[in-house]
Amino acid sequence: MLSILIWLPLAVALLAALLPRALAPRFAALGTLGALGLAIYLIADYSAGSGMQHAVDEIWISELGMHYKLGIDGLNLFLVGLTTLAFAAAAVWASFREWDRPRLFYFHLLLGETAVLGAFLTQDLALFVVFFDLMLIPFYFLTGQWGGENRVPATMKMVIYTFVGSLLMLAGAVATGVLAAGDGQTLSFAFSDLQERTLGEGTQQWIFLLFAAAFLVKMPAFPLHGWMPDAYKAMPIEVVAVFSAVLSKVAAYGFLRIVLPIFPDASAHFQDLMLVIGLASILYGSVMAFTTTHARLIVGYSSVAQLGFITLGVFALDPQGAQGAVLQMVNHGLVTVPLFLIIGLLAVRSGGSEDIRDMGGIAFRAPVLASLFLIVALATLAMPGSGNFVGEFMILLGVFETKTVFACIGFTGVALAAVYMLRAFIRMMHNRVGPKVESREVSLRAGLVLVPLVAAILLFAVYPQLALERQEASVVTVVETAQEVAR
Amino acid sequence: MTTSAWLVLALPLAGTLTIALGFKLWPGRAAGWIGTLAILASFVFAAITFFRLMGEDEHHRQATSTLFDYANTVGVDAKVTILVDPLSVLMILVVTGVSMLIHLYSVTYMASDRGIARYFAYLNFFVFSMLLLVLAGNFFLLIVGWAFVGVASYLLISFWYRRKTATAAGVKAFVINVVGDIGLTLGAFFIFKNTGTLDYLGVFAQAGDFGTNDGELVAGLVLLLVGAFAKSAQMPFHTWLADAMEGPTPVSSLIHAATMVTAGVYLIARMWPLFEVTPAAAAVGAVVGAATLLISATIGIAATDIKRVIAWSTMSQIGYMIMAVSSGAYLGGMFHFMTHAFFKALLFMGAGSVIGAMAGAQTMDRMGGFRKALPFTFVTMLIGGLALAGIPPFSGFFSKDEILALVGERGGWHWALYVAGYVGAFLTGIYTFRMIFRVFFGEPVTEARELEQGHLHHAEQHINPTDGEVEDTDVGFPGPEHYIAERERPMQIAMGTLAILASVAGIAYISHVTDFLHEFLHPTFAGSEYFDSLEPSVGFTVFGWVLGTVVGVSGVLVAWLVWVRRPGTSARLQARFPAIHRLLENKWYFDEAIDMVFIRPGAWIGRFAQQTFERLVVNGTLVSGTTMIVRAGSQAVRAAQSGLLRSYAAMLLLGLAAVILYFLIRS
Repeated sequence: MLSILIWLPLAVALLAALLPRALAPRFAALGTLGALGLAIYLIADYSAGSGMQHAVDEIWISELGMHYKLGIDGLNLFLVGLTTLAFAAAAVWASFREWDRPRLFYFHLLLGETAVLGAFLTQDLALFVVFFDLMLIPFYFLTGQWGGENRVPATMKMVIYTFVGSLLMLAGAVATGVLAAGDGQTLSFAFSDLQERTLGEGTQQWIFLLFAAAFLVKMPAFPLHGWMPDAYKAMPIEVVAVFSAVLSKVAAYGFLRIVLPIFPDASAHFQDLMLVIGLASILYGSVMAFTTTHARLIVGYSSVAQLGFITLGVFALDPQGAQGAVLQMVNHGLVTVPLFLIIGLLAVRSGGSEDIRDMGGIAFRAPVLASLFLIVALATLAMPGSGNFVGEFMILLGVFETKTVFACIGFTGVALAAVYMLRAFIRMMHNRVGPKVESREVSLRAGLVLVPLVAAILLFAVYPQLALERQEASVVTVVETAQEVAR
Repeated sequence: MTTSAWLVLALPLAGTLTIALGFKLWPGRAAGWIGTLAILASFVFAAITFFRLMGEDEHHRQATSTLFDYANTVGVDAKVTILVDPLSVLMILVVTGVSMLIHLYSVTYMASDRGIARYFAYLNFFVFSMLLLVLAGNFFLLIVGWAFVGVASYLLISFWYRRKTATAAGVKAFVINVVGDIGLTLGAFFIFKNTGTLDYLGVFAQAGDFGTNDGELVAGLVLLLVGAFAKSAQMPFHTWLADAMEGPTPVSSLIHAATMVTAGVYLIARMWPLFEVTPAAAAVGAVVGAATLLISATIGIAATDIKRVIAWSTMSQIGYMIMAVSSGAYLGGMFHFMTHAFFKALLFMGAGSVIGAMAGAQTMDRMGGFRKALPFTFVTMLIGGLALAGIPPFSGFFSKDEILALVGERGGWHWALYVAGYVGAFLTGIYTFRMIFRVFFGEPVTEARELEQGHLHHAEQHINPTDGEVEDTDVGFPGPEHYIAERERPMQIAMGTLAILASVAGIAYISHVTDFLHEFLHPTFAGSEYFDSLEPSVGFTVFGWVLGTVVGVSGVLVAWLVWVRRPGTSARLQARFPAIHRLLENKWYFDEAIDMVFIRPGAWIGRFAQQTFERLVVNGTLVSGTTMIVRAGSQAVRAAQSGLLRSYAAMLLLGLAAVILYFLIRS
């Protein structure tokens, strides 16, 4: 089941490559919708609190102890759902316009989906590293070949940056597997084995730093976000939507799935450092988001801030913070995709510019678009009543109970989010009409993509318990050990 | 009982969805009627809830009902729960009743606006949010309702979104309210940390376990007060309310006078079990309330925009309520909330009618002599003004008197608040009647004279009253039509009903005469240290009545002397005391102070981060540095113009090969 889900996009991509050019986009979009259907089935089928489900465990390279081990539990269930939804939205959205070499484009996009799903579903560290690195390749091509202005230096920067992170992680993963295998034990990279074979505290610490570097770059977190602005500006809008919504979550997920359970002592040791990085990301991201005028970067920097919140939640090292962090990963992904897609629509209406100074007054003839945007914007600034607020509430509550001061500082990020999101919304949709602005309503087909995304946001706004109760057991398990150490 | 309460909540939401989803289908005023009917139905169910509640015996007038789990996990117990008790029922009755009348008024007032469907969708959403706020049975739902009313308020303040002043005012209101939301959330955190629950009744049951002035509880409650101050426009979080007058006038009437801004009063009254064990936090509320009531009353005397005068008056009156509920005078606070909702909504409606007659102009400098041209508006506004100024036998007299009598009865340092209350009452008389005299008395202005001939003035070009910019009329207002109550039946019904209520609502509680409100609220405050025990004697009550009458009447008299008897006195006073005038005109420089302390440093940090830090440190050092190191390192591999991927793949392969080699050797 999980194998089908992971490899379905790639299979579709390969088939699409054989189809005539005209059919490839629709076929690819259909494939992503199929994956979405599978993910929805998994969510519906999931029974809360009973460990790994649909588990697969095949020996892959026995000499290296590498297993093809997959499983779904509360931690990755909704992230898988998010991934398939984001890619489906991106693929369908992309099929609305003509691409240069379309078959190759969709091949890369769908290969990206396979890699992300693999990273979320794998239960083996070595396999995780493979998928994690595989993610980079299609996005390198998608940016480098279909990107906008300055795509080449932007791609270079992004690839080098994340590549360094990947290498560090590779080293860390190898070291973990090798050092964890004590005398007479066979080498294994399975998470479940590594969790039992606790490493010495000193070893944990330097390996922790390797993983943290890789994940923080990927998120991106302050001050390792230097690649983000140029890359986000250069990517096609559909690509940046999935990139920002989903790939950053793999990193945050990595902290919960790998770092906390396998390096609990180091996690507790570096708790304050990570909380400071989280806070710095929140504050810096927010400040940048309310000063930049480039619409994409507003969302990009707001993501830095949001991932700062998620980092806080993870390193609260208690179940409340972790519950909030996982929920917030899903919520943030859900708002990021429509935000970028809407920016794409608005740019079309303001003479192609994505600068908010060239926009303004677009709401007038586009009430439906304005309403959809408003809902997404309010969810992004984590208005109480949105799922995002539940996430932030749990995160900050988790931090508050042990690290009150950190939580209080974290709250400034909540206020700043209101400032930058409203500023963006007003400068784009309200005020006087911009010089090149031509307001018109969202088209039906764009609406067909946006409405389900907004519906998903509303679903989590009305009933976050849906995710929380399914996540609970798994989330408690992954933070347990680190929490005990930290206390 | 709870079923009807759920329906009270559900109907405005259904109204919102109906109007919003079918916004293209509703012709003309249909959206307005749908909205009004939804609230009317909600009011009917509120009344049913009231009678069901009264049908229970005194000890059973409290019920909770849970719809579903919202975030019930890992120790957090956030559920969709409502609490129905006398306090929340009083709130829903007033909220739905006044809202219904304001919806009715809006059906005409907003009839020529192109955004009428959007307007009523927002307005219905506001009512839903407000009801959610007052019916919430736990802190989580309270925060949700609290934020929802803030959003509704934002949307309606910047309803005419082509006006830069309106969008700026909206942002200001929203951000200050978010600060309040944060205070509320953080306050709830402190309480949750110590009680392990978010549920009101669960928390209140543990109130007795806290010591007097327990440190964490004081912190928590002061943070709750930040939420209350931001929402109720109390110092120093009050600056948004005057700017909020950018919204349509019925919005000012509903949200920024009658309902939302009193949420802070409700919150403190609801939290009485906690405030009574932490007198330190309660004192903060009482002092801030007293300071706000004085300062905003002085500003009200200098303001020239008719809506802003009423807005400053709102802050001042809410100051009374906040002071009351923080001093244990719950009855007085809730009583004044009710009467204030009636007369203040009425005053705003009257102002809307005057603004209609002035074709959108709001400054009182251009108004005058409307008495004959707008007789209905004059009479109803006069009633509202008398109630506001606390002249017997209008409702405001009894409720304000009740507050001051109870605060005086507290004794101790509360005497200072008692005195402040009477000083405020004197100022109230002045600013209220300054407004009435300047608008309705004196020489009729052109608009008034034309209207006496039966011609409603229309402006050729609409000018934004705040910044003088020419309006972009694409977004509805100022639409082609203006409306005055004299010609519109729905506006008359709304204003007439409120005028009657503003006149007679005082009978709900007249100390030593009628006791209804006290009896009604009693179950909510059972066990309170002050609710029953603060009982002013007959002598003190009568003394209060006499003093209140004297103070109120002398305020009116001063206004009469300055603005009717000797016109020009005001200008002479301004010339004599320029410093004081400047202080009042600039609203005690609160905006400037906030600008200096928060906004400018914020902008500076933003510029620094954007222009300097990001460029030099993040891009310069980190990115280029890393890039350089990697480039140097991979120079050999990428000798051929292979591009990056090949070198990446090569390095990955090399790395893997090394790993494999290592393991092969090791095993």
